[in-house]
Amino acid sequence: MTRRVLDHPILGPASARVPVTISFAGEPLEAFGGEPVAAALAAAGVRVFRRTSKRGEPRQLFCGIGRCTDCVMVVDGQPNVRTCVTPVREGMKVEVQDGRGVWERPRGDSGASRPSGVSPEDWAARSGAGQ
Amino acid sequence: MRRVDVAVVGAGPAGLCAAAEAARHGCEVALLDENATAGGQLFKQIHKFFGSRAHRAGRRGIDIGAELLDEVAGLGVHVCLGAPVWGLYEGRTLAVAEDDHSWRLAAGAIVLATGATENGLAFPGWTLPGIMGAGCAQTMINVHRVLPGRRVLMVGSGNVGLIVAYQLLQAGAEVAAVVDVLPRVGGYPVHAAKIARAGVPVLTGHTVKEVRGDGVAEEATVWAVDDAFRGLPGSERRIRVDTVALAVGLTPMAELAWLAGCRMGYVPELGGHVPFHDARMATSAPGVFVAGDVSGVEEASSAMEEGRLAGVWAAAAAGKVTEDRAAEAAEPHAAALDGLRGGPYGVHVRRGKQALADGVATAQVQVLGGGGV
Repeated sequence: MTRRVLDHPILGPASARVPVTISFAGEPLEAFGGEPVAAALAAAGVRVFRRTSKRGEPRQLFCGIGRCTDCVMVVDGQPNVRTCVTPVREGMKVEVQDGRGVWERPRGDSGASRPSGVSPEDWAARSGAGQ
Repeated sequence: MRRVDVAVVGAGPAGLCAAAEAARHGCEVALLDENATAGGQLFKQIHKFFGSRAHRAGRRGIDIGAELLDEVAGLGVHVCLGAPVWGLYEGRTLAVAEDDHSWRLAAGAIVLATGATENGLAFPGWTLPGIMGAGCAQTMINVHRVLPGRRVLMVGSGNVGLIVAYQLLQAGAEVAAVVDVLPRVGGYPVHAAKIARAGVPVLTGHTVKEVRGDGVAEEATVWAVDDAFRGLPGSERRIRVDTVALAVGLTPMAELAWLAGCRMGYVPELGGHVPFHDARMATSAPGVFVAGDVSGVEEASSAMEEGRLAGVWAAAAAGKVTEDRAAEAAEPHAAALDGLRGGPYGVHVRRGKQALADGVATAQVQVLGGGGV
């Protein structure tokens, strides 16, 4: 049974929307264009969006309107994205966030601030996890 | 730096009404909101509102929201969406973030209509996936049209708890029970009756003892409480649910009022720290007004009337309308507010608002801050 509310006594039938395919944890996942990532995942029955940094406890949704940051995930390589207010896009890559997450590439980093002797990979890992 | 006569922060029911009223009185108005769409929480309110016909009673929030958007569009309000306001500085200057840059906006008067945020409730297991604000569940079903879970326990029998429980049923979920720690149902009898007719048990004098599950919510234990709200061992009931929705109140989002140096008071009846304000919705910071839940948690109908008042008086503060004209325009909205707050359900709000208007520091109202922009 789908978790989509297809028909509704007040709101009527769901309007037709453009299907898009995103990936979640490396697997394709069907979504509707314009809906938030969190809605697409909840519709697919995904219940763990991230794990906390100290105890690795699972988290999913709390406020659903972009206030609380409980639902942050790694989206297209960028961690801490509020999935409840981020619309899906075709080809978007969504992953469960572990702790504070790791930036695949430090934002705005041209490499200039990377100390010599530190590889770009190590720098990227440090920049994400060491804050 | 850009300039407007009136800047309104927050495009929910209060902010939309404030912007419309200021624009109607000759102001150039900017209406700013961090969200991608205007309307605040109106577009998840699919139930009919209460009050008299003048308050759009009998209409659904979704329809009222659409009307308000048309109204501000017709009045030429500059609506800036996806634009969080992150600062409020001297000279009534707002700092606004938009995409990858930031800009400043100076205003003759500012209306803060930033709303409120849902409270949590701490019990063992409360962070498990599946435990969320009732408003979150409401957003998921009515806006995104996705069931956050199939079997829900609702915590709190105020209007939010009752209405969202009923809307979960309408969306196709099962509601296992509504619990409330108080001895009586908090919301309007008409909402409670709908829940009762649907066969949902309402357990008053009960609270959540704990929620368990293997990585997600699977089973809630509720128990009865004594007069001091302590759980009574032996009264536990286990309820299989995958979702626990918390309707345990809201807290005003008053960060910008703090930044503006508004004199603040802690008023439990109004949800927490709120800026002192008078009947014109003016705070202690010159030219800074408030409206809606940020000035004390109520509901959308009163937020709209407060917004109208704040918009009129902001126009006066910006010098676009005389005091006399403003008083004339404000009068019906002040009367409407009194009407909405009449009766037994308005007692708490009336007391809280009166304490703020009087500016008194009682045991219930701790005064904090002072200054002004």
